[in-house]
Order: sequence, then structure tokens, then C-alpha cells
Amino acid sequence: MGRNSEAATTATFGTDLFMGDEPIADHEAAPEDRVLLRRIRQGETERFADLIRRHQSHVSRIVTRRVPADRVEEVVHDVFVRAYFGLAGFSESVSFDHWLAGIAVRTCYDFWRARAREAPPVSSLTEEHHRWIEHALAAESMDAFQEQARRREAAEILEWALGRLSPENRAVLTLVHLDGYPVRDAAKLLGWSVVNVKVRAHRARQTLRRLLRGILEGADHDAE
Amino acid sequence: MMPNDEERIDRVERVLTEAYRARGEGLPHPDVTARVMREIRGSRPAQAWAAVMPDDLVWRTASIAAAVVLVVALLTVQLVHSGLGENAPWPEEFETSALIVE
Repeated sequence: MGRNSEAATTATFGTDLFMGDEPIADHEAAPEDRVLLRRIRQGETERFADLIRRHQSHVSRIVTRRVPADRVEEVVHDVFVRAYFGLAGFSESVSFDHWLAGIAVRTCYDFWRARAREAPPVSSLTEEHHRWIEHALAAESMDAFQEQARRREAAEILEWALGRLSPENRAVLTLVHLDGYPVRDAAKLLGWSVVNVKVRAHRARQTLRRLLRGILEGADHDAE
Repeated sequence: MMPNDEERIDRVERVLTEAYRARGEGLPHPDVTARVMREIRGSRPAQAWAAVMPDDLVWRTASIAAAVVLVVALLTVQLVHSGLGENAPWPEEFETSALIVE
């Protein structure tokens, strides 16, 4: 977190990006994973539990940032079930972590797509949120800045803004601008074209900035 | 907007990015092992399909494709032959005629 905090406060959002927590490298699957995968494919289904234990904290980290806290467990579960039934499509030329990260990102995207069909984003910002923004803008030291970021209002405003993006733009904005993945890696994770991700990343950020401008001007309105 | 409003937006964006990265910090990760394994065990028939190795799949597909090509080729040859049968030159050539004309 230290590295991220420093970068986040010194870099201009979205223009001086750094790699996210889970940088994508084209590493091969780890030997331990390869052994487990071979045994699972030979019929030892129970070995999949070992794979889950090895990777669930990694998957949980990705999911926790993307879905509401009370839905994390359900989504992490879905990620591993999908992974199991998709094992035939896993090529050992990439790391299992990377492959799982893609499934996790796409499962979270599906979560928001389903959610968008069910209900529109709720709630508008309150006086409390507007006060928080004033405090955040006034924060002069790094400690004050981080303290503001950890406040409940920050998470609520972020959720309010993300809730006004389409699921596609939300997925891209989260990966590219919030996690800090390069466009190429974000495209790999989502299974979309680089051009699509680039265009969406630009549009999503413009929408976010428009929303924030609205808040600063004292008007919160729907975005997409 | 004020001239420095873009900077203010930048600043709010940065705090929100920080808020995003702080999500779930220090929270215990859920252990889904038992639940996932229960679901997998309950889906044995599907597992058999999922466990098919890509190599096996390639060989199976190739064998079926080869069989189909063979059948199609045989049918084609048969059709061509039967088509030629109507205009084939040999019936005339081999038309029976008397070898010895009186």
C-alpha cells in the first residue's frame, strides 16, 4: 500500500499510472500449480481444493475492490467454480494467477451487468459527502490526505460515481485508472480488444470527471 | 468554473483512487474452499467434460473430421461415376457388334 499511496498522491490521476497490485507478466504456470493441474486432469478432483487455498487471497483482493463487501464471498466462490469448469481452456504458458485474475475481473463485470439489469444506482450525495469533499480538498499533509481517503464518505462517493457508469465503463475505469493496469493488460484481463479498452477508458474517465465537476458545482446528476 | 477547478477535480480523483485501493484493507479473506468443492462434487457429469484434455479434444475432432471427409469423398466419387454413366463413351465403344460380318 505504501508504494501505491505515494504514487497516488504524487501522480496525476490517470496520467502517470503505475502497475496495479497484480502486474501481469507472461510467466508460465508455477511448478506447484502445474503438478496440481495435472493431477486434477487425471481425475484427482480433490486437488482443486489445494489450488483454491493457494490462490484465494489473490482472487479475494481483486474481488474485494470491485463488489460490495457483503457479496465478496459469493463472487470469489463463483470465480473458482468458473475456473474449475474452464480448466480445459487453461494454457500453462501463462501463470495460473494471471488466468484466475482474468476470470475474477470478468466475474465482477458480470456481477455489475446483472445488477444493472436488476436495479438502477441508488441514493444521491448528502451534505455529509459535500463536507467530506471540502475536507479532502483542504488536506495539506499526506497523513490528512490518507485519512480522508479512508473515511466512509470516500468509499460512498466512489461507489456513487462508479454506479453511474455502464458496467463496461466501470470495468475499464476500475482496471485502467484505479488499479493502474496498462491498457494492453486490461484488455487481456477482460478479453476485449485494446482499441475497445482504450476508447472506453477515455470515455469512462471523462464521465467520472464530469460527475466530479457536478459535485464540485453542487449538482449531482445521472451520467450514463 | 474557477481556473483551478481542474486541479480540484484531479485532487478528488486522487483521493477516490486512494479510497479504492484502501478497500478491504486488513479484512480477512473469505475461505470458499469447502463451498466450491461441494459444488464441484455435486456436478460430476459436467466435470467429465471439463476434464477433457485439449490434446484429446484435438484428436477426437480430427478423427471425426477425417471420417466425414472420407464419406463425402466416397459419395462424390460415386455421384461422379453415376453421372458419367449416362454419357460415358465406353458403352458405344464396347457396344456389342458382330465380329464377323457376313
